[in-house]
Amino acid sequence: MGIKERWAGFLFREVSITPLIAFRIVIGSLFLFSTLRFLSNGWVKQLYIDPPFHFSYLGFDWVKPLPGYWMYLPFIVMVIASLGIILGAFYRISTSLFFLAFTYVELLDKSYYLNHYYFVSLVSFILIWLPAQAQFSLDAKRHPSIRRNTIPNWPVFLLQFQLGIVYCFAGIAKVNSDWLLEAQPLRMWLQAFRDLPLVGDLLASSWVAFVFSWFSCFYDLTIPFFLSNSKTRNLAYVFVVVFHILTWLLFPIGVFPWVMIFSTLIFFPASFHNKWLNVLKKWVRWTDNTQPGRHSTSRIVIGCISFFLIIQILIPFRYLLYPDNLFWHEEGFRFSWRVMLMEKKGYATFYVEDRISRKSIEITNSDYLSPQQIDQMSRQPDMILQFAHFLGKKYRDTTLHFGSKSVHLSRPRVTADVYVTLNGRPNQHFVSRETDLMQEEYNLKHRKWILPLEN
Amino acid sequence: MKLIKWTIPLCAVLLITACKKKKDENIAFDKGPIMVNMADNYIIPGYADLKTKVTALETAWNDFLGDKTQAKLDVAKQAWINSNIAFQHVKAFDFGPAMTANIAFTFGTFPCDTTQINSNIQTGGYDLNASQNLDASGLDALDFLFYRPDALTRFQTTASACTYVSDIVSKMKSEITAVVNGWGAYRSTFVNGTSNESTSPFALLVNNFCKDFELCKTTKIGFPIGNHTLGIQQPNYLEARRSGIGRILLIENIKASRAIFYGLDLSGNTNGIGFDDYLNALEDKASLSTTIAARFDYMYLTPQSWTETLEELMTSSPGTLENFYAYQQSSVINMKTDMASAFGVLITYQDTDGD
Repeated sequence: MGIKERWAGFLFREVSITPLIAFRIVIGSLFLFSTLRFLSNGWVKQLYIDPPFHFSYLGFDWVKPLPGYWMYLPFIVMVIASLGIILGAFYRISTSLFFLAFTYVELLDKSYYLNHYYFVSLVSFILIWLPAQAQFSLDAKRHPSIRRNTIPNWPVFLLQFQLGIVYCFAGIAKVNSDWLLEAQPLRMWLQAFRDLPLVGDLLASSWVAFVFSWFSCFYDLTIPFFLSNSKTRNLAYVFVVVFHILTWLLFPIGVFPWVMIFSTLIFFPASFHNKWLNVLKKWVRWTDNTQPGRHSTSRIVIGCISFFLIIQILIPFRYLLYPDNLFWHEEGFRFSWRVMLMEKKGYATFYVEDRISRKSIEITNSDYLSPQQIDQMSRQPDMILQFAHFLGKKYRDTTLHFGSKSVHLSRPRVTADVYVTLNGRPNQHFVSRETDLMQEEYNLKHRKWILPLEN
Repeated sequence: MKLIKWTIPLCAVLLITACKKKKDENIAFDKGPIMVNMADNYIIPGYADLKTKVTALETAWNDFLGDKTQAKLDVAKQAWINSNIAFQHVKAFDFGPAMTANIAFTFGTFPCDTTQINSNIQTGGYDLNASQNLDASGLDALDFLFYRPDALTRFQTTASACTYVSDIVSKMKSEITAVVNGWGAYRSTFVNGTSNESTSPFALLVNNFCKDFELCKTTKIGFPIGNHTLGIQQPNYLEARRSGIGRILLIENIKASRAIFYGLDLSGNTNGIGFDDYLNALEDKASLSTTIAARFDYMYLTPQSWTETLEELMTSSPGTLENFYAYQQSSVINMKTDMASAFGVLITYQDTDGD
């Protein structure tokens, strides 16, 4: 058999639908929980309604927040859609709506970018195409003809692959000198726990930071393989639970540990999931009827899956197209599963400068940005440029009145003085006032106006 | 499997070498004593002092009302200066009871809105708690009312102007009383709040320390010297412009920031556990501690050598103020990047990227 046939055979091997059904219910519940948590923390208003300015993604500046309290609408849609996913009701519509609403919100402002949000977007997109409503769902109750007990292997494999990608690339990203040879940034972060009774001294000692760094790197690189292997699976899952609960206790990372702990259940076989699904089924008096899965190899499906997989593998490597330090320039940094990798803090002061008199207006960032936005912007080149362009536009062709004096600005220069500290290094000059940021285009090209990282 | 067999020992060897390279330099350190020192030797005495000074102001003012002479007005003015200085020492602690009472704004907003003040006095029926009167009350409003050229005559002839001062003073008195009382219960929350969550008292202390120092730089110097207005000076933005004590208030504000960093007591005589000691206990951060300390020493001493008021300096030697501002600005960088990073304090309530 050639590689093509083996690949087709692997994707279309007949498997039980149970793990997929279990995944639908579990991930739907997580979607619901995290949306409700977002709402109850008041983040919709704080992050999307209050700030007058948002940092859009390149090419997505047409995605704008809804006016005022209408911003709650996508979140209400997410609540209803995640209920639809859990129950398997209007499944394609529910998954599509969830994907659209969630991705819309994420596209509004990159200040709030988190890898696990990107993961949720991807998984909800994948779910649209999977037959996860074909059993134990309201759709299957209404239309018994869609019921299946078996499905081809590719839906389950796609989800396992996506999780594998998250772990492997998180592991690859950790293979760098700061992480492995300096145990940074963990060493800095862990010392903050030295006040804790009993474990404080332990956490603050540098050998523990080294053990954590090396172990987490090894864990990320290998856990998908240990989970895939039936001999090592149970022990591997114990590690998954312990590892993520530990990170949840130590760092303010929200629901992400729970997303990973529950999503990785997709690696378990039908026999495992039947144990808890049967309880549920009994409770709602559901009986499976046996319908043979009918599925034939489809070249379109194979093509689409192969394309998706290749894209997923290539995107995190796009940073190789850029020279200079990845952590410093952050070119090709997002959408690459680089989690908890750096401790980076910046201080950015912006100036709108009259070209004729060379006099300037120092900008108070908090007049336009929320603390979260300032925190992220002060150390990320693309956001520094976006904010500069926003200021340039705001002050273009304006007449300013200062007491009895007035000044007309036609096309002011916008400059920034930025200093950044990375993984405990003393702060270094990041952007100098020599650069007129209005002359720099916002695009995917290498940003030469970022001063180089020394040592 | 063979591959794994060989990788594990290889990793172990690498790990041990990496570990050996780095000695354990973290010295045992507990943040608790910073909080206890701040609370007991600085914040609580600081608020008590402010209350004493505001009470003295109230007494002096009532005294003046009984006998409206220049001498009595001068006593009230001095009491106002003392209150303003005491306020500089506690305005950074804008959390807990102070945030509830909002005294950072109700006491400290400047420049005051003189039009609003005059119209309040003329028409009466004002509510000093209303948001439009935030600029028409507080310490800077008293600067305007006490130091107008014809202040004495106005107080002698306009009863409503006297009432207005009384209202401002009694509002400040009740607010500082609320803060002093609030700290009775808040103290234990504060001294035990050493976690690194963005809402913990330790994080609030660090963040507000940075924020207050930045505000000191921007409002006391940056705005007046024209840094936000294309270099066009804005003397009307000066704090306490009419009394001309802006330079003193600048010195006192920096003195307070410096005291928080060093962990000094309110008198400034005893050096307890502070941010500097914490930095010294962290590996590789002792030089940062020395840098910030030296910067504070410089910033505390420099304005003391100026012989003119800030407004006079703006004309006679604007470069002096511009240079000082630049020095303050570069000091903020050390605090908001290096120090905040070393302390591992978060600034946002949001989730961060997990693993």
